[in-house]
Amino acid sequence: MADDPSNYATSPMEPADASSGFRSGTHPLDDYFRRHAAPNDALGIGRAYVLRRAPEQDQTLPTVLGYYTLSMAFVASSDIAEAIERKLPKYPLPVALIGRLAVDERARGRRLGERLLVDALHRIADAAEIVGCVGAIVDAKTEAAEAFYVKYDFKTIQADAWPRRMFLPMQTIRAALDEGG
Amino acid sequence: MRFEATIPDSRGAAVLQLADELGLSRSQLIDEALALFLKAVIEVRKGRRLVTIPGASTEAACEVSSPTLAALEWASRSEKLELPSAAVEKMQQMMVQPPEPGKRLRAAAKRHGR
Repeated sequence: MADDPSNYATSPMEPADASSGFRSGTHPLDDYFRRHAAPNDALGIGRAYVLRRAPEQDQTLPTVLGYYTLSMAFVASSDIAEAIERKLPKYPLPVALIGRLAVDERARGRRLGERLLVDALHRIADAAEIVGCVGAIVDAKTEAAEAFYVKYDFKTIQADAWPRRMFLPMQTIRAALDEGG
Repeated sequence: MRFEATIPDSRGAAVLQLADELGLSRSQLIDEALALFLKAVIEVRKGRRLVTIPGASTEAACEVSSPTLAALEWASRSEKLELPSAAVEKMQQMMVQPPEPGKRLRAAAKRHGR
């Protein structure tokens, strides 16, 4: 049932999460979480979802195990003339943007990055039921991040700059989630 | 008008219990719930946020959301990504011929399924 929040492993970020001591070891991701995620969430710029430690989990783990951010974006070609020549869509393509995804370094080795990614894909698939969305785009900020997303079928569509822009079409997302149940 | 819907058993049980507690018929309860949801959608489409405010304490306000409301909110605040034509072309190719999910993605979806 798409509308049941308990279908997700994560929950929306709360302002107190910012001071939970989350640290992924990557400064820009940690800084964003501490200083910008909650205000940006409040402004609707990007929704932040947080994976919290469950009561039955090891109590030495941090309270926030990981997070990701989601927003909607429209992809348009930067070169209109070339777009027309290549017969690309004349209208912008609506996509979901996974802007950031990070796991606390003290909680590594538990497949939490994978769990966060699948959770994000569930939310995107649910959103695509009511708003137009042709797939998910991620911004991989490092080679390790790019390698992580490649494992889950994202393809690099812009390889000449960092962050790498990567894409996974909605049909592939749906096929995987439908099979996963 | 008559509606029929399939909802999880747990929610159905909660609806029946609440209708009983409040002395409402199921129709009255569903009608009021839908009116609230419609109002929530209208407010979110206007760019407003839904919060609950504690009555007499200094506790923080708590935001109310659901996957549907969150999706509407994302859609209303879209940013524009300008990509080179070659990148848009790659996206288009993948949309026209979507790759089958690989082993790893399938296994991940299964591990973290609902």
